[in-house]
Amino acid sequence: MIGKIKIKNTLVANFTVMILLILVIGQGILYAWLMLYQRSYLKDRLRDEVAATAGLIRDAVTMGHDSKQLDMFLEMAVKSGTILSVKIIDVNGNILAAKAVQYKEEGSRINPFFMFYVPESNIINLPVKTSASGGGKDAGRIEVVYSGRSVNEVMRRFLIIPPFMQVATFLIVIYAIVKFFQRKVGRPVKRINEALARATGGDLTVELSEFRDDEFGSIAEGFKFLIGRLTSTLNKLRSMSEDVSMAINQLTLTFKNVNQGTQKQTEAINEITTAIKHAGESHKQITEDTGKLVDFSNENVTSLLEMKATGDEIALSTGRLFKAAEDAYSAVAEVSQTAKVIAENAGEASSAVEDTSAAVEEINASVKEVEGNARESARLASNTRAMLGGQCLDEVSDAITSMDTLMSEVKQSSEIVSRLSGRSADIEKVLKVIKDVTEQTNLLSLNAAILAAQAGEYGKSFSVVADEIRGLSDRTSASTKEISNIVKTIQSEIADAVKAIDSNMNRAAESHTLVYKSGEDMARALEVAQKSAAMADAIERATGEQTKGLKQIAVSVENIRKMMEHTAKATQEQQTGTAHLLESVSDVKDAADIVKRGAEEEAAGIKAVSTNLELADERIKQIGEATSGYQKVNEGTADAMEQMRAIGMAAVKDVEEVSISLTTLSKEIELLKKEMEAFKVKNAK
Amino acid sequence: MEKFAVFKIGEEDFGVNINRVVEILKSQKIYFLPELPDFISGVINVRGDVIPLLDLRKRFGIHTGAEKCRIIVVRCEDEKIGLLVDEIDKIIPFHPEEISAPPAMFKGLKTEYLTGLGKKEDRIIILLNIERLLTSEEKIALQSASLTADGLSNDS
Repeated sequence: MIGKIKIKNTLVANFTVMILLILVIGQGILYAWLMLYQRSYLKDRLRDEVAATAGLIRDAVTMGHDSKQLDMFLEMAVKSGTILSVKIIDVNGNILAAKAVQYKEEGSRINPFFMFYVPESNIINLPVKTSASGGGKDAGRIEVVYSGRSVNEVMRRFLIIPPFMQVATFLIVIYAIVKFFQRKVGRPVKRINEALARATGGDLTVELSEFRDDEFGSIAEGFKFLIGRLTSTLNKLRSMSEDVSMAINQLTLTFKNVNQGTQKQTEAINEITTAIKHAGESHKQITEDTGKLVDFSNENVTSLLEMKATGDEIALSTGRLFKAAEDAYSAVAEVSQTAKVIAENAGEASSAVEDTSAAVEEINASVKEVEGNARESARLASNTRAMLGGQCLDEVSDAITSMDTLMSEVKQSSEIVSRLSGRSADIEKVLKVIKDVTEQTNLLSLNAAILAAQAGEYGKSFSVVADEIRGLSDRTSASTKEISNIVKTIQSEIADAVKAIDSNMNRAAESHTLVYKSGEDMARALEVAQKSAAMADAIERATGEQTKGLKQIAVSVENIRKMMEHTAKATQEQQTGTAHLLESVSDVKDAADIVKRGAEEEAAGIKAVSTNLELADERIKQIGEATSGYQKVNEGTADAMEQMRAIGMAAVKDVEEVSISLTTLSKEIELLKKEMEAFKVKNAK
Repeated sequence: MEKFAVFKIGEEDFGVNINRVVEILKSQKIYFLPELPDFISGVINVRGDVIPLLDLRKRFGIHTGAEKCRIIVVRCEDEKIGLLVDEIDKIIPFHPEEISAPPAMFKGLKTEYLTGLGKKEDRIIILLNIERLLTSEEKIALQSASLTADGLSNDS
């Protein structure tokens, strides 16, 4: 852009040519005027001389000299060399006397300086009059032809010598001017030019010093001042762009943290969701088991009712037996002879015993069934307990731990995002400073352009610098606007993220309470399950005791049957003594007593079992209700978790968008930085 | 070829011959001095020089909503005057044939304010005559005001 100026455009050349033109034109006009004046002066003098000679001849003619004397006069006139020929002519045109000199005719040369020359031949006619006494009439005329050669020779000398002198003087003057300009103007201009070329190339380290206190000195001062201002502005811009770059790097780092946090959060939520799903499945199992348990307890109740009926039958039979035995005893005691009655009674007793035995068998079967059911109940109850106590509680406590982690993660995210918000406010501040600097640069460029334009020819190259600065400030302004827009986008996205995180927090808190509630419900269900297990155990134990009692009854009834057979034999024999019989009947009475006690015991056992079973039934129903309630809670938790996960995903998306914006911003800043680095600047002092 | 510093007031472009321009400034603190003539908005302090400020927007009756403002310091008969304008555009060179004589009235401005109308790429730039921007009474008022201002600045 700025280079060597062509020699014909240099000020020195222009100036020199100008001076030369003025000198040549001025001198030329003066010289021409002088020459013309000289010529007319010389010409007039010559003419006067010739006229004087002609006058002498006229006087001679008038005075009436004879022709010989006249001829001598003419000879004298021609001898001088100036006069070429003399003729004396009378009134009628007859030549009275003539004299001419023989000279070389040089021909009519075309003289380039004709205006400075006198023609080669000139004619003067002088009229001759008769003397005053003769009447003063025209007597004729004298014609003199003279040459301008002598004048021309003088003129030629004047035309040749002075121009040569002038040329020599001009050469000396030109030399002096060129030398002077090279010293005073050429060198400083060259230095300023070089400095400008370097500055335009982006090198702001140029130094301009040792200038005299003239116009170049002030231009150099102005240039130095501008370079200084530009350097400081560039330094400011550079540090600014580095600050922005650092801030953005920090932002990017912070964002990565947020990203990780959010991902962790999403993972935690996924874990919780899985845990809650597991808990739900377990709960379904529990509900099914509890349903089965309820069925079983219903069956138990039916069995118990059957058993009670059987027990009542047994009691009736036992009562009959007892009565029969007592009757037999009193009969045997009172009547020893009435064997028939005895035999009848014994037969009756025997059939009663048979009935009893069958009833006992039946009871035994019922009790076995009850026992089986009770065992199944116990197993299911312990299953429930194990399920509630083990896996489920673990899962719930896992969920609570995850919830706590989630809460702290969300809180952390919230803090990070609010820090991010603060950072973007910092960026805004920095941008404001950049905007101020850009405006300052713009002003600087305008002032520089004005200075350059006022400097005229010298400022041309300088105005290129001014344009560059202006372009830089325009570009910076555009970049600043873009960055400002991006920062605004980031801020709104951060606000979105803050909203999302806030709603996340609320969701997490809700889920937290839900999970805690479900944990409490679980604990309550566990308690109920334990109680029902204990109940089932008690039922099992009671049933076992009952079975034992029934075995005793069976053994006793067997004994009675044997006794009865024995009695029957004895009755058949009828030989045996009544005392023996009595003894035997007494034995029967004792046995009947035992049977009665066993039956009573059994009734009590059945009552206990029945009460326990009813209790268990109630408990199981409670478990069922609690479980279904828990399941509802669980479903609510699962929904909340799903919502939370969706919000988390949205947060991740927001954060990713912010991340993309940040990357764009970072690129912009890099571009700006590169732009700045194109300028080579002295290190800031 | 003459160069003009082109600035904007509202939608209009105005030009001042750059040989008149001393410098361009950002908006500065404007000081109000007592006994200043009406057409002077105040004075500004430019590195110790007290310069009266003429609000061209008021002068030309152009109401602009521009927040930004710039000051062009021009030389007017050996006095410096600051002109308050909206925005400086750039330096534009005009060939003599691009400058036409102004009509009797142009956009409500009296022609005596104008040197001519510069035409460049569809734009018409109103070239101002700085000398005629102020009436002779105003010039006298300005001189006495600047004397007062100088006196104040010397006192302080």
